Amino acid sequence: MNFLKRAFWSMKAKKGKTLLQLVIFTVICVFVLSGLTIQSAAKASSELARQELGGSVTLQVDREAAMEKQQSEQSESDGPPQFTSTPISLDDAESIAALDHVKSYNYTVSASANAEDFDIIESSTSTDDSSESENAQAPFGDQGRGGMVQADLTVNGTLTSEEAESFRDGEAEIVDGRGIEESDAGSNVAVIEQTLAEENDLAVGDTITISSSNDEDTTQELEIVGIYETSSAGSDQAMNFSFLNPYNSIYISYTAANTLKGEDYTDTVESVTYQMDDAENIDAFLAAAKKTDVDFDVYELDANDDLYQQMVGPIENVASFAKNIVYLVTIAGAIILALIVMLSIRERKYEMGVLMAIGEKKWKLAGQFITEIVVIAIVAVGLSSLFGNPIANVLGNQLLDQQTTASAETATTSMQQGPGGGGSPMGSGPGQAVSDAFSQPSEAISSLNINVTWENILILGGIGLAVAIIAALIPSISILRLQPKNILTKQE
Amino acid sequence: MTAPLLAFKNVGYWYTNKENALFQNVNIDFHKNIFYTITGTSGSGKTTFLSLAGGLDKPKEGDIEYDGKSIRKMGLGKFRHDYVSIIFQSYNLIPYMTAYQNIASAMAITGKKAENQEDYILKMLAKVGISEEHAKQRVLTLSGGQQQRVAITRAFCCDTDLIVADEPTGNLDDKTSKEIVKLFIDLAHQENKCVIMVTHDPQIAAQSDINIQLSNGSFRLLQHV
Repeated sequence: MNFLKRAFWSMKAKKGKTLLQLVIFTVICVFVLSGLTIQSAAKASSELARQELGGSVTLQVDREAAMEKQQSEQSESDGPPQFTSTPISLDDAESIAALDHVKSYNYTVSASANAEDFDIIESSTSTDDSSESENAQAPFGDQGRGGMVQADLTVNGTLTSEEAESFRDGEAEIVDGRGIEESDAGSNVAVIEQTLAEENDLAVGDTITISSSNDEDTTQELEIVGIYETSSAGSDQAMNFSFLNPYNSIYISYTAANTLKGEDYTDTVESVTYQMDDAENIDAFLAAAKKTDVDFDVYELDANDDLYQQMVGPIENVASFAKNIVYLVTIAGAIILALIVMLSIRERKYEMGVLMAIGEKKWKLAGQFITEIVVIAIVAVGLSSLFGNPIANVLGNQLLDQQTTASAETATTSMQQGPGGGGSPMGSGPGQAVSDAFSQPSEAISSLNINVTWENILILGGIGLAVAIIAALIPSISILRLQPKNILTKQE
Repeated sequence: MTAPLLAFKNVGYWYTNKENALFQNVNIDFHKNIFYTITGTSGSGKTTFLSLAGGLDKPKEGDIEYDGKSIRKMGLGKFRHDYVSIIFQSYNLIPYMTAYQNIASAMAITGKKAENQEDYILKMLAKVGISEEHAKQRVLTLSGGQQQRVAITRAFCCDTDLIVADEPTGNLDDKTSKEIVKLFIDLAHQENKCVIMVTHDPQIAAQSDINIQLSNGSFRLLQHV
């Protein structure tokens, strides 16, 4: 193993050159380690975001397709334009719910109703102008009937209120009793808003009666099983329409809501929201759903992963940039080091000639050069693991700041250009869209928890060794072609 | 007469074509205990001949045998590793090593061992006038004469029977040159080595046991003993 000794003697004798190679290698390693660390931190953060958000997919009527169909039918008949919404059968909803990656699901049946034996919370404008209140029309739920109807209450038919959007968002919270549960299907139970309950001295266990806004003969007596509190301020439209007032929103089982809407709606739902086990599986879920018997000419699956994309967008850009840093620095580093080693080996031809003249084997000569650079690589990896953490933190968070700012600017710009379709079909209106456009960028992951792990160091060690060996091996190939006579003759 | 240590058998060598061969059909035997010198005009092929003897190159025709075995079949690397030490005019020491390290490395490469290696090397260096202090210095800090002594000691410590030297005194002053030549003579006569030295110096040639004169591809042997 004399070549190991020679490598040590050579490095000791050529301190300047060794130091230069060490500095270059350390810089390369610091960048590679930073890239690796940022990558793994970004991956961990996006995984965390994914786990927290989960992601959901909504099965609903394809309104665009329905409108196109109606337009074509309208041209054939002279009747007024009608929008016919085809409810989703429970069989269809359940066939998709049975697919992989569905963590939970919820039915939504929207209806409107009038209060029979209690007072609704009147909106200020409607109190001043009762005629306007009387003309208040429910824009949803019953559109399928054609035309608008008068309503006091928004009725949210659900499988479980816990899975309803406002409860999931934290906007609504049960303050007494319980929410609507799966077992409530077929029962006439309700969860009402705290203000509405207080105004009417209603409590859990009491009953209320509501009637369908379409057919006042269809009434339902509902037992209050829970009272919730909402933090929603409602939309501007709530000033004009009582049913839009968040206090006048009640939750009942989807079966009760269907009864309110009429016999045609038995065993159907308006939309189904499937919560995914992981947002990453949305694509796989969509692909599997397309293979079911559900008629996707009528219905569509809408992946509600905008928030997830908004959150992880900047971080994925950072991860992608970090990945490019790793590739670029590794390749550039290997080339730079190979050139330095190549120059150094060219300078050492004489030494090689001498050693070969003594009888040294060529692979041992290459081994000496590889040993020298590998020793430098090991020290460089050690040093970079000390410096890598703070540098990666500065680099990673600066990159993320830039990305977050850029995406916030993009969101603001797009908002200034118009909210465009941001409103939900459930009537949240343009106000909601503006609010979303402002709030979503602020929810993007704004800092990375960057820590150099043993895994990072091991990967760096692997890359460092590969770079060192390649950098020493390429020029060493030229050694194998050398003949001692040629070297020594030219030297002399 | 004993069997030759190194035997050139119908050896021919040329660089471009056979018609312009440096030499052809060379048949010369080299024995142990004899100090050979090779002389000749510049370009006569002295160094090429020595390269063949030292296993740095192989003949274009014919064969060279070491102890009855073809060095072509043996492999030049193995031949250099096991059987020959080469000394050049430019000393061929590794510049970043000390004198001691140069010798220790050569011994490790050739697989030569001594019981107490450091003492052995220092003793050998002392024999040629290199003090312990100089032995621990990097060779570039030593004078030309001292470096050549280190190169000779390296060959001696590798303990090969065949030592070839290409103008080892070419860069040295007269006094040092004489001391170095004496070392070679001692290696041949006292250590029973076969020493082959290329030289321009007729005085050194005169001190050799056999002087081989190379001229226009022909070899003329002058025996001084």
